[in-house]
Amino acid sequence: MKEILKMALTLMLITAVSAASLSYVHSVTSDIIDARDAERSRQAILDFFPGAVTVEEETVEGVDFKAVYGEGEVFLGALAQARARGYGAPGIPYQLVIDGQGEIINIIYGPNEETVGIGKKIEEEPFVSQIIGLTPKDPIELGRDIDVITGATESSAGMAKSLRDTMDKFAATFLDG
Amino acid sequence: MSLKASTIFTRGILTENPVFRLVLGMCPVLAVTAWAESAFGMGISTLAVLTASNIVISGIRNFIPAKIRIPCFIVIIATFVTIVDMLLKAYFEALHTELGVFIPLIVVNCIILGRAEAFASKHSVFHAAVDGLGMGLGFTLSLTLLGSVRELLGAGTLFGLNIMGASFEPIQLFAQPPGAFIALGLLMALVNIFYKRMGLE
Repeated sequence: MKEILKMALTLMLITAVSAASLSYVHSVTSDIIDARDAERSRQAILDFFPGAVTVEEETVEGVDFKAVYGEGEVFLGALAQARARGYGAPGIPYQLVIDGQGEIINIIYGPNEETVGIGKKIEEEPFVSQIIGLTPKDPIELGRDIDVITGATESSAGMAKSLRDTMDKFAATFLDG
Repeated sequence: MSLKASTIFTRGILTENPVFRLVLGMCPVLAVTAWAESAFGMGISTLAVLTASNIVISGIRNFIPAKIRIPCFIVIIATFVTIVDMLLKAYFEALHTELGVFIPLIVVNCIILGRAEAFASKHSVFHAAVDGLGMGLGFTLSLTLLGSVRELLGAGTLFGLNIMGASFEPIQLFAQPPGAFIALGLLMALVNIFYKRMGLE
């Protein structure tokens, strides 16, 4: 009994010291890492919106918007972070860069598990170029202005549906309906 | 046991070199040596973890019950690896990205647990530190040597600097995984010849 207790206490002491040192190092390094990430995302915003002065974050039913404003509170556009339903379990996370008139100027895909050579084609031409330039006034519908990728109906349909939804929320939030 | 510190130190670099003599820790040796710089970074990270864990384990060797020594060693090693991981991410981001999953995998590098079990848990803190430095330096030098050879042949550069000139046609095989095995085999043969000639067997 005494031996078991000694072993348990030793191990507990070692893990406690380990946890304490890890949390100390984490507190030092996480600030540096966070600051760098923030700077990087600021830089990314400046790349698309050179006149950006302030950025406001807003979440509308699952879509994270970063609204970008220039001099004199002029609305320059927004980054919209959303997730489409795909063929793979985690879905398809993506970020749209939308300008002040509601036109999509870029799409950046996050890590997903779409099938290489089939569903992954959503990240390639010509699928991407039909997304660039869309506005909330476009139909954004599979078979109309978004062509289905052969063999990847779920990925294409998921993207079209999610894009429609994101653009509706963008229009309702930033373009007065 | 009366061991001379200088003997302990040079042993890790020469007679018991972890890569070329003991053939330990082959996973990082083969995986992150396509470039001299990442190989060097991996070596230094391992050196830091090895030395630190050797010191701590030797320092508390009389308090650890024999039955649970391995879990204790693993916790200590894992702590240092995580610290190195966080520090690299904060201060050397490019290297951190380059080494990727092989940083957390330092935990299972058999050189580190091997030195903890075979040396640090039986010797004084000073000797354990010297052993960690020697072994770590031996590992770093071997990795850097292999990384340099692979980078020179596979890309014509060394630490990113163009060495071979424009007319050199890189042998891309050496930058790829099979090239790691081939380069390691050739280097090991050369090192064996060197040891025979020097009478270091």
